[in-house]
Amino acid sequence: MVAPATRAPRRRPTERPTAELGRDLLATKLTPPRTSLRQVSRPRLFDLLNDGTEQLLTLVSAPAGTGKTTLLASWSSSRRPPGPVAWLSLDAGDNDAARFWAYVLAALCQSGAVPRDGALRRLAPQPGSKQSFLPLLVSGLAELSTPVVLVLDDLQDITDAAVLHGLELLLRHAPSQLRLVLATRFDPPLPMQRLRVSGRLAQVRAADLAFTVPEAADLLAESQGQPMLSEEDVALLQARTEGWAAGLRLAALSLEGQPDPHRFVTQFAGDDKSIADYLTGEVLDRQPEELRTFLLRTCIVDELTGDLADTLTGGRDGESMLAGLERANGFVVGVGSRRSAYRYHPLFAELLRYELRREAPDQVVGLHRRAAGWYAARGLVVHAIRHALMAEEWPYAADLMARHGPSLILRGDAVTLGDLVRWLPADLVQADPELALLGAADRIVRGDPDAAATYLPVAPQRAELLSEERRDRFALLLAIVNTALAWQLGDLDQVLVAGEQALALQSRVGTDGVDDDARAITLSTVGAAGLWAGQLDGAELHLREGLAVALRAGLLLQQFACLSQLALLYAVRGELDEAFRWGTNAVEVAAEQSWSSSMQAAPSYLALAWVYYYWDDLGEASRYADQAAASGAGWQPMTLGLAILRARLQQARGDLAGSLGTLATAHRDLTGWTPPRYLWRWLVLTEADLRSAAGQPQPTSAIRKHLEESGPLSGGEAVVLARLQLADGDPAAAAATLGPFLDGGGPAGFLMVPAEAWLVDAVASDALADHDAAATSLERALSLAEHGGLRRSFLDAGAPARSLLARYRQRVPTSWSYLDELLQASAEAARVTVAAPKLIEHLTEREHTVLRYLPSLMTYEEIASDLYVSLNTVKTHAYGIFRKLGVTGRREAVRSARELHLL
Amino acid sequence: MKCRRSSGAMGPTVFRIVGRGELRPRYVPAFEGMTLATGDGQTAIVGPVIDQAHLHGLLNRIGDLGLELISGNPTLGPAASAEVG
Repeated sequence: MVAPATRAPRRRPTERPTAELGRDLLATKLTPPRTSLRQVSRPRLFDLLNDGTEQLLTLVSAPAGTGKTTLLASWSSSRRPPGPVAWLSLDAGDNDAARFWAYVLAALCQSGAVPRDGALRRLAPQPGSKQSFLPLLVSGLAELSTPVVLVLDDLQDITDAAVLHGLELLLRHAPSQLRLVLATRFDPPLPMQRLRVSGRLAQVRAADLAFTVPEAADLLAESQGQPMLSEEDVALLQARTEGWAAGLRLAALSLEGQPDPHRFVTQFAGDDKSIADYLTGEVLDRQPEELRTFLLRTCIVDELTGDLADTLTGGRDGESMLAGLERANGFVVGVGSRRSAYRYHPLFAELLRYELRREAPDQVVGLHRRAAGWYAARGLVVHAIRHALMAEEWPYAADLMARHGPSLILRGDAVTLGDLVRWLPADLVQADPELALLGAADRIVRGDPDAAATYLPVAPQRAELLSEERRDRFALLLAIVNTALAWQLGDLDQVLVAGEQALALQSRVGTDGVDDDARAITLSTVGAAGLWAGQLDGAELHLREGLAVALRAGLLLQQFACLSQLALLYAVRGELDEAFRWGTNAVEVAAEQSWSSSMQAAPSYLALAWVYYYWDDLGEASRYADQAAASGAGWQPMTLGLAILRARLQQARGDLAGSLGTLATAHRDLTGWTPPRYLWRWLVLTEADLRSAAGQPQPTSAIRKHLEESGPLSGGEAVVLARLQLADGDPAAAAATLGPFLDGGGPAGFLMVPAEAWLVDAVASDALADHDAAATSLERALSLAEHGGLRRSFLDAGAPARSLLARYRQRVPTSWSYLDELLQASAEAARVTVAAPKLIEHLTEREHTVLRYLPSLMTYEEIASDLYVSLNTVKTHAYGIFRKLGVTGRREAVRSARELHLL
Repeated sequence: MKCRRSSGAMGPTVFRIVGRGELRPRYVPAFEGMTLATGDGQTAIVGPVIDQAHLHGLLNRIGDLGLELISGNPTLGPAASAEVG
């Protein structure tokens, strides 16, 4: 027996990036850049934005350096927007739908527009369920009580068709609460004609953003501290730069310390060089050598901290330099809420990088190498790889990719990894088995498992080229990729094979080659596969170890995944109390962490649904089944498991036809996927059990033979089989089938509920007139059932169980109160079933014809002659009708047929 | 070709952008507000371009559709005269 689940320990998200869906969301992307205090006030643009955000979409489309971000940041922090502002700074790494929408959600939730219990907090987009996510986002937005402004800055970096398509859908279906502001360097490929026509599109373009002469005067005066230029000079500058914000800022910097500003302006105005070129040269040339070197050496990274700057320059004053740069002349802007990260204005960064390449091309590679080392030492793997690639340090980049590939893939960052692999020279990738393997992983993540499967065999052939140490790591990576691929294809047997291999290799390669993240994910994946494959004991060990590793490493999502899988494991093992404890616990964690609709939550919902089913709380059971469907849909084992549960729920409601239909559909949908053996057997047996309950039994001996051919019988299967044998009128066979399992012997298998086994045994013993054995078994059944609150099994057993309970009441004195409760519930359930007749199977056309005669006073002979058929034919049809209506006589058939509107 | 950063005050300029390969009519919606004409293995996209951001958006779209860019010029003629060759 396992240790009871006290509240599973969990860690609060720390200051570090929040782990969400295994992705690290960077907080800096969700905050507008800090705006300089010396911001020029531009009320006319605020007015444009205010008017625009009265409507659905405001497009801010203008080239680099026109001041889009600055405008939106200062407008966001003003009191003017119509509601809370959700900010998201995009970059090329967001070309992945799951990541993109995770950021959008995070931005919305952080904006203050979503209440603590808002539906949006329970949403979680993921690679497998993109289709269902957007409608949920839309309905979540629709229930907000205030408008929310969603600013997507740098939208030009988004080129992924799936992300753009999602945005298009959002625009089409957005509720009135959403006010979208898209800032981009060029017009996005979104259909906007319809919005424009209906007046729901506002635009702020380069012409609007251009500084007017008075605004330019303000800007120049602000940065100089005092007006230095005449009105004419300002007008000249404005005309030369066409009001281009970056141009004016560069001009202001160039003017610093100019002995003759007027001369500078006229010279600049008369020059035909490009503005940026001219001014950058001017600005850089005027800086002290030390600062100039600092600028050129630090411009190669996107985001700077003091420490990183020191690494790049070899100096020690990075922190104060950056703070000074922000204060003095706005070369850099601070990003994020903590005042420690800075970023060059993108245009300025570009110009600096160009300058660096021109001036010191031999330094570029070394700088990228330093940046790569700095990022790698801090575990910022993707940045590290990117800079290693820019340094053209191919072996180093390849080593980083191979070392961190497994955890990147398992964390869902393989899209990024795939992009990075593509940077490498093609011949290098082809020659290196590890990289070829990463290429395959990239295909898997892009939802093309078939392409990956054809790709995979190529890689191992080259493995012998590797050094011994790398060969182990390669084998591990291969096993992990194979595990992920098999999981995606729903091939659970293969998950178990490849996963066990990966686990064994992880122990061998040691902590150097693999991190806790990868180990926890492998354990939970293999555990889940074992669970669905019916290898419950092994699965329990894996999931428990996965939980321990995740706990030790502070991996919240992995803890949650193991928790949820364990709940389901106990449910299908028939340990309802345990299942309830773990399941409730998982649901609480999910609610706390906004993971309620994540794929990882589905098993705990299914577990709770089974628990409530056995407790005979069908309403709660259905509710959890719906939640399991919403979060876990699309993954075949879960879909099949859910179908079996739903069929049982329909049976409990007396809808046998419906339950058979549910299983038939599940059967039909299996095309192209072979379920693992025990899951398949569970389906077959449930189907047989329901058919028997509907009065259309299949030959039990054939079922038994079929089962035994594919492996030993498990306890859960024995219970159903014994029930079938009882229905066949063979209680001796039923007792023999159950015997070995009653005291917990043999493999448990799916849904071995001990109370249920004892009940079936009691019925069998009673039929064999062994009344002492029947009484003992019934007593065991009742005491177990009462302890666990189990009711459903007694109700499903129907009239025979009712009769048994009534007749043995005197012999089981310890359980009277529970027995009476069950008797009453069973009688009520029976009434419900009678009151609501169900059609077990559709009538044929001939049967319909015969049915129409039944209310008449005509005899079967008269009906036969009226229809020109034989008497036997009419009788056959009549009995067919009775069977399908679940009735025994003509009068009852007429009553049922009328209630079903067949007449 | 002088591309002004902000030509709003002067009104839109009519551009004629030519790519190699004939684009099927179903792609017309991708170029909202422009006229498409095909012939001689080329596609001409003609229409008012309001500013740089608009022009870059159009050029990107042409690239996304796999059209090889041959030329792009401001024209004086009206958008209607869109025949190719």
